[in-house]
Amino acid sequence: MSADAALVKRCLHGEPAAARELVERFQSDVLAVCRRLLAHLHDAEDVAQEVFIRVFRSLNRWDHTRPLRPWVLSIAVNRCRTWIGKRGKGPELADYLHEAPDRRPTDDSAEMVREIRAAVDALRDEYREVFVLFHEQGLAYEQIAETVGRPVGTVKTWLHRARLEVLDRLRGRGLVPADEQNEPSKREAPQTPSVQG
Amino acid sequence: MFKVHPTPEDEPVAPECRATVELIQRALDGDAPTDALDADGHASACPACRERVRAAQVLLSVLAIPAEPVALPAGFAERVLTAVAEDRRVRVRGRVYKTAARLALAAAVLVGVWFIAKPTDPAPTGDVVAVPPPNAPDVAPPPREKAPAPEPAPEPRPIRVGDALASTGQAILDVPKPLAESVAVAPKVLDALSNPFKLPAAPVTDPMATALEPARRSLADLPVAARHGLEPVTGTAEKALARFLRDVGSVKPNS
Repeated sequence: MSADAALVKRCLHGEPAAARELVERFQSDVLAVCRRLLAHLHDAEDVAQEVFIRVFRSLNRWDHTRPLRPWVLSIAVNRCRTWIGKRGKGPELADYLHEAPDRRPTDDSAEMVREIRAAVDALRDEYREVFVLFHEQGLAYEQIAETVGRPVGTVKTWLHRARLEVLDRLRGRGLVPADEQNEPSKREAPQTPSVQG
Repeated sequence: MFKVHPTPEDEPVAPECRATVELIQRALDGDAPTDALDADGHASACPACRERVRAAQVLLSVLAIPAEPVALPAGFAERVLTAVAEDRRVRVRGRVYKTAARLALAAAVLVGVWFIAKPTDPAPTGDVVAVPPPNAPDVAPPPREKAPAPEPAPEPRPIRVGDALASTGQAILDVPKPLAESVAVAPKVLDALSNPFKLPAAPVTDPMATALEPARRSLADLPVAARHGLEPVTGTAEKALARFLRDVGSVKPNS
């Protein structure tokens, strides 16, 4: 029996220590996902609490042949989707930037970190989910597919599109180091020469 | 709910650029070394792909920064555990209420089904008193033979009018002295009751006695009047009781 299965079994037997262990094992991941998907600290805490309530309600339905972490994160993603649906609007970037602590507040890359975060926050919800789960939570494609309930091919497509959008945002914001030998990017459709009238 | 964003597919990617974009994706997947981006031949010739490669390198460098541990709110685990325990209590209470409600509903359904499907009397004659023909003799028929006693039922049987009347009639018929004789004694009882009102004979000289003489005479005549008044009643009562006993005796038990 895996460590996850043993922990879940103890939780199902009603051991308080096991419940605490489960919460402490996953609280960081759940909070991180909720914060990144909701972009609101207080909402993230509320939703993270709901996530654990759902986790304990559904523990008897967990497939013990699969890893526990993606399953817990899938509940977190679903609760975030529900919360976003209730909120009726997308993540508020300004709130997030005001509330979220910077990872590197004094480093030169702080601005780049913020820009990438903002780019991720601006993604549509499905893209943001797979981006966060892959690049921040380190889940594999198969685990993300289980987490978001979509085929692996769809997850790959979403992630690739998400990355291209983030790259485009970095390019559009002028955060890509200038190329000394070449002209600035002309990736957009060729501009029609203006006609002087 | 989702915001509308233009997809990257809306942006034309030249076929010759697709290999470079695929290389960028593999590098971001961790399946290709980052150095491979520098060595991409198409990127050196295509400005757009060169810029994509540089952006990917920036992204890779930022993603390579180890994330600081998530700052956990103070007491978060305790709050979660408290909420989980409260949720469990609420759900257990809800289950108990649900079970009780289901049991009550099931009991109500069972009672309703029992009332609907309970066995009815096999024949309506069980509750109907048989009417004798008009020219039947005015005497009570002999007592019917008792039906064999039914097997003891596990549950108490419901009270049936026919059974109750039959057993009552039989019990009356089995009384050693017929009740009709008791009814015939009624005038004598009235005589006995009126005796105290009979005053001894006294001289009429007393004015009070003279004044009360009409009342005394009325009281003295009361037994006779009662006898005469009740005679048809008692006769009718005797006949009615005899007829009743005869009819009761003819009632057939329905089971």
